[in-house]
Amino acid sequence: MDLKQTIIDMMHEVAELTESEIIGNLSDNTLLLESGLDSLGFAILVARLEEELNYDPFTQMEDAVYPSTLGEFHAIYEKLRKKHDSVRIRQLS
Amino acid sequence: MPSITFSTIQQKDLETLRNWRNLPRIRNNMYNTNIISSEQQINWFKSLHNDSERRYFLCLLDEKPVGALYFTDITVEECHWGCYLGEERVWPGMGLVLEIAALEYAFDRLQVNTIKADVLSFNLPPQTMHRIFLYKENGYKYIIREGEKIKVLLYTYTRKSWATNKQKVFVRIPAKIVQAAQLAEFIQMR
Repeated sequence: MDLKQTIIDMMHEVAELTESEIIGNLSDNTLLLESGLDSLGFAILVARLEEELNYDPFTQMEDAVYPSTLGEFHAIYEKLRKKHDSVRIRQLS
Repeated sequence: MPSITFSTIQQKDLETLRNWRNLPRIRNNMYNTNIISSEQQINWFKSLHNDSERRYFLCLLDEKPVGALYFTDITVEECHWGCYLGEERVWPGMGLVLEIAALEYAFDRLQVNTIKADVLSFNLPPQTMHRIFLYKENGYKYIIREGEKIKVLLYTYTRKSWATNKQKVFVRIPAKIVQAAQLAEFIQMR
């Protein structure tokens, strides 16, 4: 699964749900503050991603690091996905 | 779960606050857009002492300063409130936490009956937020800022309405945000 694409697709869904509009093309350099999603939008995005991926990095991070760009947001999810996947593999074996 | 604390502003916080307040994205949404000097900031801080009509808090996310929450024109009956996030790197949904904390603090701690919020008409995010929280839009007024006529939307919330709407509002917001806001602590130093 392409995690970045999942995040981008979900950002568009959440924008529709919250009646906001994604500004321009989303890229790694897009500032979250200028993406078009508001505070509620991001809160819903994180909740929806948790439903989809079964983890929420922002409540599981050992050292809290928060993103300012979409690239950083994706990197935080990617980093925890590796941890999450390795735990799941250990549980299955 | 991220921890959120609101701490009374102290002298050591002044430069952080001043730097945030002078950011174009923040000062452009204020009544006063002037760049605040260090001296003005110190004088403003001194003026807060023994002023029961104003309370300013620094918002800390995991013990790191990220924004400000403030209450002004406090009387036994009502108060105004405002906030801003100075840092861009915050927990997604922090704006909602500030919104909940403001309502809870005003009605539970200040014990006012009405909370008011003024929003410049071109500042859209707080308008969306106030709609989600079911604020009542109580008309508007005009101000002249740097020679320009600007419309200001006037929002109010009564204690009674918040008691009625609270659960309705909370089901629209992810549970972790509500939980974090309800666990947020207010620390008053003076």
